Amino acid sequence: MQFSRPDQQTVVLSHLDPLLADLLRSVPASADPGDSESARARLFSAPSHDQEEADLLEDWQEYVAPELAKIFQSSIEVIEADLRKLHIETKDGNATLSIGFDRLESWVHGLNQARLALVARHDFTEAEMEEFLPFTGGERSLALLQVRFYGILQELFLRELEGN
Amino acid sequence: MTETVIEQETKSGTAVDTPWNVVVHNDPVNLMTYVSRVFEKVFGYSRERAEKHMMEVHQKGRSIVWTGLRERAEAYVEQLHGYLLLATLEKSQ
Repeated sequence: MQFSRPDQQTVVLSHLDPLLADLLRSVPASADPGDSESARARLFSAPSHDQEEADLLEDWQEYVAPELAKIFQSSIEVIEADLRKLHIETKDGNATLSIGFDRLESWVHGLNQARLALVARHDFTEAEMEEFLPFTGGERSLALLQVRFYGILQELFLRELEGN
Repeated sequence: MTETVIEQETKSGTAVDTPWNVVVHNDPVNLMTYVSRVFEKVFGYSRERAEKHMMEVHQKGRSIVWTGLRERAEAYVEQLHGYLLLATLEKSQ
């Protein structure tokens, strides 16, 4: 994979092999907690640990959580729209994706959401995330690869947003 | 009767004025650069101050990132949840 910034308005991910292109396409689905209780609990965490704050927790679920869901969804919609423009090179089958600079914030947020949901869904430990484990196939190994790849993209995009 | 009313108002006023902390808890998934950036955006903190809080979260497991009136603290917690940070509200000691 190559990362470049051809102009002020665009960043480009190129030479994406079919596996990395697939991982990119999986961002929206991975960010969706679906029926995973643990992923949903992580994305919609409690605003207080105090048992006396039952009213706050109830109001939060009723009024705040739906608003948060809209915020999360808006980032995913930006990513889905960009992914529809993923270009596959005919000569080598590798893919190229151009992303508008003004859409990077949404990407950073969506990638973060996907990483959090994946880690919660697969219950990865901190050690598993830090240790270098080669891709061995299987759902869990693929999910760990996703967490790592999305983390690299997040770092790249954050660096651009920070102007470094 | 009048004295009772005054006492109730005083108690209520004290509860409202109690300062509240906005606490951010460690999450090994959130990137350190991301957490710092969120503190800069939400609270308008300088890079240096944002990184100090981020390091405190990372090393001590939590950081009190803001203290003040309850209503504003709740709004900050909501904003931090919008960025998927683990943030809670707690009464200041």
